[in-house]
Formats: sequence, C-alpha cells, structure tokens
Amino acid sequence: MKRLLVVLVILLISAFIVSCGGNAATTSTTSTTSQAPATSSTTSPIATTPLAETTKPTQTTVKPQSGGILRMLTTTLATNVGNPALPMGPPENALMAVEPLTSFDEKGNLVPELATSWDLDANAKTITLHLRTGVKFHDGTTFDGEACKWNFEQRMKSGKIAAAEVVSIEVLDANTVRINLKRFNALQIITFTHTVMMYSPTAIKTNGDEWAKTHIVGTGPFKQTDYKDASYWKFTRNENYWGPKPYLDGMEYIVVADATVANLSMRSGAGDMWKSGATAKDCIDLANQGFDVIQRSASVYFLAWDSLSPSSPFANQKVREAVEYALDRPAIAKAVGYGSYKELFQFANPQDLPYNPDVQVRAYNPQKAKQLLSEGGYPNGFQTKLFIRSESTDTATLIQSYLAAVGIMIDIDVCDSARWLSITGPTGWKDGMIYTMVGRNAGYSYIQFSLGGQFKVQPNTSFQNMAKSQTFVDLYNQLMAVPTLEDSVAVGKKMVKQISDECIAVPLWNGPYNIVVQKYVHTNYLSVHHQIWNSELDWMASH
Amino acid sequence: MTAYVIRRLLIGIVIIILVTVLVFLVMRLLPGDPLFLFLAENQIENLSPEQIQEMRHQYGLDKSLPMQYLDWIGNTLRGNLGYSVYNQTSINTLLAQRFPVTLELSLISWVFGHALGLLVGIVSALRRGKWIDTFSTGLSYIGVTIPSFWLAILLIYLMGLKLGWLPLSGWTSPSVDLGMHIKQLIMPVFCLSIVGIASTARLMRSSMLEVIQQDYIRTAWSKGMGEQIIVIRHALKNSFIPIITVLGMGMAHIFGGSFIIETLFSVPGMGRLMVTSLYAHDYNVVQFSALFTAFLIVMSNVIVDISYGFFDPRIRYN
Repeated sequence: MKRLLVVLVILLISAFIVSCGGNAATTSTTSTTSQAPATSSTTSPIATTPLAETTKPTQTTVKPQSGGILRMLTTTLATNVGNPALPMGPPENALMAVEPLTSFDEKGNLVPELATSWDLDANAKTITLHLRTGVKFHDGTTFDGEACKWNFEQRMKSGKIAAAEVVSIEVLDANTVRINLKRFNALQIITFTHTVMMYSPTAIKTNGDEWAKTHIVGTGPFKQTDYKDASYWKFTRNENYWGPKPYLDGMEYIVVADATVANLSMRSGAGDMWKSGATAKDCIDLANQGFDVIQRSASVYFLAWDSLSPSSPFANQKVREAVEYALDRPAIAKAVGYGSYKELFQFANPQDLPYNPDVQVRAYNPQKAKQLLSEGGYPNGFQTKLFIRSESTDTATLIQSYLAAVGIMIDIDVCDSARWLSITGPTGWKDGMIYTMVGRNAGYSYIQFSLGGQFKVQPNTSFQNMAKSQTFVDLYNQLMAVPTLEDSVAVGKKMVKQISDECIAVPLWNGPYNIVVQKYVHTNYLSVHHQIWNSELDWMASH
Repeated sequence: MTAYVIRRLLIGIVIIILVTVLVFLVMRLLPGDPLFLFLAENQIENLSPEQIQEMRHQYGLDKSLPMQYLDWIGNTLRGNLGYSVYNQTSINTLLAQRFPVTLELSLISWVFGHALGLLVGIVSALRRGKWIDTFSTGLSYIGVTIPSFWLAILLIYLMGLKLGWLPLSGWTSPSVDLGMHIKQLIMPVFCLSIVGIASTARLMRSSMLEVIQQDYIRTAWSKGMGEQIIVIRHALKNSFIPIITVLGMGMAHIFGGSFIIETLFSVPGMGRLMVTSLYAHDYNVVQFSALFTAFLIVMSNVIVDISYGFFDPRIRYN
C-alpha cells in the first residue's frame, strides 16, 4: 500500500510538471530531405499571427505624462561604456547619454544634433562643422571645438576612424572645427558626425581610462548614476539638457541573460521594455498576451561565394544566377522569421536611398535554375559547401533543401568563431558559399557601410573571395570619392544594380530587431532607420 | 599521516599539470587563427598581413607549442593571468570581481545542500519504513534526476511570475540591500543544491542503516543511551565516511552547474563570465576559466581525500 502511495505521488508530481510545459509547438521548420520544399503558400507551423513592422505611437496621439523610471531588459551590457579610445568602443546606441553631431530624418537626410550646420568642400578636401552653443556635458564642462576635436582623435586612436585618411583637425574657433582629408569623400561626413559620439574629455582626463570604461559622461538627456558590469546600468534625468526636457525620471538597463527568463520577467512586470534578445517566437508569444512588439529592420542576410577561384563552380555567373533562381526567398523568410523577415531581391530595401527599381528580379524558378546550371556546364549539379555560424543551422538546412532540388548538393559547415573570422577575413574561403549578414544602417550610412563596407575591392580583408568586375571596381572607387552626399545616392544605385547584374552576392532577407514593450510605454527607440532614439521624448502612462 | 597527505598533494599537482596541458592544447589546436586569442575582431580587420605577422611574433605565436605552453604557464604562475579582449581589462581584475560572487553562491549551495541532505538521510534511516522515510526517498529520486536548469525555469515561473514571492533574477550586493540579496539567492542556491541534497540523503540513509545495525550500536541501545547520543557520538562519524566522497564530487557539480544557473538567474559570477566569453570569442578568459575551475575541483577533491585520514583511523595508520 505504501509503495503504491509512493508511485502515485511520483506520478502526480510528474503529471503536474508536464502540464506546466510550454504551449507552443516546437516542430522544426526545416527540411532535411532532398525533395523540393513547399512553395510560398506554406504557413509557418509556429506563428499564430505573423508579425508586421509596427511603429509605436508617441506623444502625437496621446498627451505624454511625466515621471517613472523605464526599466529595460537586456541580455548584456557593454564592457566599455565611456572610453572612446579603446578598440572595443562604447555602445553606439547609448543615445540616452551621449549624442553625435548629426542625426537622420525619416527620409535619410542628415539633420543637426550637436552640430547645427556643416560645409563640404571637395576641392579643398575639408569638412567644416559648426557646433551648437550652450551645450554642457553631464559633468558641467562645455561642449566646444576642443572637445569635438579630442573625441575625433580618440576614435582615430581606436581605429574607428581611419587615421590615414585624415591630414589634420583644426579648431577654428570655440564652435567651429575643420577636418582636412587626404582624399575627399562626402560620405566621410557620416563617419565623423554620426558614428562618433561626444564624451567629456575633462571627465576622462581627470579620472582616467579605467574609470571611463564604467562611466559615461556625455551631453544626452539622461546621465549615469550607477553601473555594475553584467548586472545593471542606471540613469537619471539630466535637468540641464539642451533639448526638450525628458519626461521620464530615469532609465535602467537590467541584465537578464536568458530569453526565457526575460520573457517571464516582462510578464511579471519586472521590466517595462525588453530591449535586446527577444526572438521572433518570444515576440509572437508576448504579442498574443497583449504586449506591444516593435520591429526595426536591422540586418540584411545574404549569400556570398567564392567566385574568385577558377576551379570554383561559382566563378561562372550562370551558376550564381542558378542559385538565386533556386531559392524561394519569400517562403524561406516566412519560415525562419515567423513572418517577421522580409525577402529581398536587391541589396537595398525599398526605403533605402540606393534602392534601384531597375534591378532584375530573379524570383523563384527551379526550372530556370536547372537550365542555367546546364548552360554553366553542370547539368547534373555539383557538390559544394555552405559555411555558417551555429545560430543559422535551421536556415542553412532550408537553403540546402532548395538547392538540392535543382542538383546543388550542400555540405553545411558550421564554423566556430575563430574560424569564421578567418574565412570572412584575412584567410578567405575556398570553393563554397557563406551565409552571413550585414547591419542595415540608416540613410547615407547604408551606402557607406552596408554597401561600401561589405563590397570593398582588393586589397581588403572582408569577403575577399567575391569576384568583382572592373565596372564594379570603378563604381566603388567613384563612391570613395563622391563630392556630395547626393552623388553617393546615384553611385549607390548603380552599385546595387551592378551587384545584381554580376550576381556578386545574393541578398536574401531583412532580419528585424525586436523590442517588446508594456502597453503603457511610449518609446521611439531606434525609430528612424533603426538608428535614432530621442529618449527625451519617451514616456510611460500611469500603470 | 604526513606521508599520506604529501602523496595526495603530489597527485593533485600532477593532475593540475595535466589539466593545464589539456586546456592549453585544446585552445591552441582549435581551427582558426590563435591570434584571435589576443586581439579583437575589429583590430585584426585593420591590420595588413605584415602587421598580423608582427603581432604573432609579439604574442609568441611563432614559437613552438611547448615553448608557448611554458610561456603561458610561467605567466600564470607569476600572477599574470592574461588580458580579456572582450572586457578590455586584465583577467586578474575580472577574477577579483566575479569569483567572490561564485564563491558565495557555491559555498552556500554546497553547505546547504549537504547539510540538508545529511539531516534528511539521518531521519530517513532512523525512521525507516515510516511515512517520512517513504516521502523523502521519493523526493530524493526526483532530486537526483531533475535537471537543474529545468528546475530553475520552473521555480522562476512559480515563485517569480505566478506567486510573486521572489525576484525572478538578478544579483544585488549585500552591502546595498541585504534583504534583496537574500531573496535573490534563494532560487539559485536551491537549484544548485538539489542534487547534493538528494544524493547525500540517499547515501547517508544507506550508510546510516548499515551502521545502526552494528553490534556496538545495539550495545549502546541496550545500555539505555538516548537516541540523540547514539546517533551523534557513535553512528554519525562512522556513517560519514562514504559521504566525504560525495562532498568532493558535489563541489564539481556545483561549479559545473553554476554556468547555467548563473546565466539563468543573471548572477555576475565566473560561470556567467565563461559563457559570455565563449560567445564573445574571448578565448583567454575561456582558457583561464577552464583552468581555474579544474584547479578548484582538483583541490577540493584533494582536501576531501586528505580528510579521510581524520575520519577513518584505519587510513591514518596504514
């Protein structure tokens, strides 16, 4: 009888434990066979409601309320929050505390921030910046030309700005700085004014480099009160902010390393905003529970290949085009992104400045793919490799199945970090493809970094196995010497078309950056081209 | 006894040396350029091939593997634990920040787990066949088999979300808020100690059962000695000998489990540091953390081995 009781107790406890399990199916969406996968009409087995890109309404529709501390859950904190001279620089989106010289508007135009205006002189190879007056750092010192110059120099020291491109930086007066360049490129204005944040030189010089790693002193609407590595980062309102007075009393970053725990923390009310680490599944789960999900388009995923080695099948453009035709990008994007990925047919989104409507769309057409393979000398297909990072295994398996259907047999090679850095950098890779991604930057910086950065011509250290024609090389060199930002758009459009015409790489889809917020939170976090955050405008309703 | 202690220490040193060789070789022989052990990704991107070669020479990577090992172990013994590329600080600094947190969590879990396990085991043995024995035996089966990370999520869900009794995660220094510090300790300590409680309880129960059936215990009963005195003075020490082995292994389990538990509960300890460093490609920290963890486990087992001599005179006199 006693034994029976013990068994019953154990069974009851087991049943209770099992009933507490997850409620979502966890069936893999990938195919591991060589049969032709489903077409675009396939629905994801997991998503209940596909996520759509949303924008959180801000104070334009509801009157903002003052007060409260916004608690933001994040997976990790930067290990260097305030020293711009170190190679691993401070986070670029600590925009509640530090600010750049310029920002972007909705159309991607450069707008004033800590600089009120700027002059570009292609003949003299100079960029002249006119700085905003009356701005103070959090430590009370003045933001001026000397502080601006110092910050540029720190970023050159860290390697963020190529010092070789700069002849000198002059402070013409208290609020005017001139940068003298070796080679003029209008896109350099983005590098200097948008990617370099302004930190207080006095604070860092007084307290030292080690202190600066854990203390951020900028001009932003919030100033740091406390920082503990891997735990939290706290801010209070800057009462002397030069712009509109912030609504919130403060902000806190709270580290929650595990996504499941962060999910539960949001549901328990321990966080107001889940700022990083939310997967598409988490977003669907929390959206179904009444949370607001904000998506910012963050990354462009693409396939690169070894088209440089003569022995590589991808040296033949017909083979590269065949790969493009073999992939049903809308279907794969829907499956792996649970409805949040947007397929791409060129290296720019419709909202991006270099978007070119004249780019040929190579939509899913396996018959065409087989025909091109045959014309390329591979009527029976061929065997090759696909190098990936471990987090891309599901996607790679889907790609593998689509390519297998046209005869291209893929060995998926999962690379550890060191090997990945080698093959995408100095060592290169041989005879295969790489599934990778590039960050989608805002406005003109998309042209500079997403295009110009990923498609550098030799000598370069990134994706050096992608062959580029002389036409493309000429376009790239043109981009590196554009006299105005408007000219960069024209060149960027041509580059996007040339990438497609030559099939230098295959763009696949946009991956979003997901933010989950409580209903009462009104934020414009990364709202403009996923890079701009005017934290002084964030507020929370009573709750 | 002295010879016994010296022998155990020497064996421990040999094991640690073997561990250092293994850790070193694993990191060096992994695919990829070992230069990434020393430089950040964005640093390497900006270097020319000649500069990369110069860097290799600067970090001794052009030397033979045995020479690189000797350089590394020599630096470590001199207290230069290396540089964390991701954290951009010395590993000594990281150790000073993170180890006390892991030490506190591990020690409390270890003491709590084994103390409670001992108590449960003793009570189960003394009340053999009664409901308390049946109940605790059933729970110990669950405790031994349940994965600690799964238990952690379950506790967070129940205690944190549904009941709201405890904070879901986080770590507050005791000097800042002792009450919150204790509340945040409860769940991670319980998760880390569950296996210790269960295995110690089961082992203690069987060991105690064997001892209380001995003639000298029967003699003590027949002399009219109280149960408490019999257990504490006679039975406990003799039944404790097999438990010592579990104590040493328990430390290994706790340090190993801390990787997951610290990540789940966002505790800024060594385990979390190791996980973060793995994702951040900070191989120097990974290498040191593996070595340090191995060192602690080996030393705790050496201490356990030596303590046998105090509990069991037969070992001492042999």
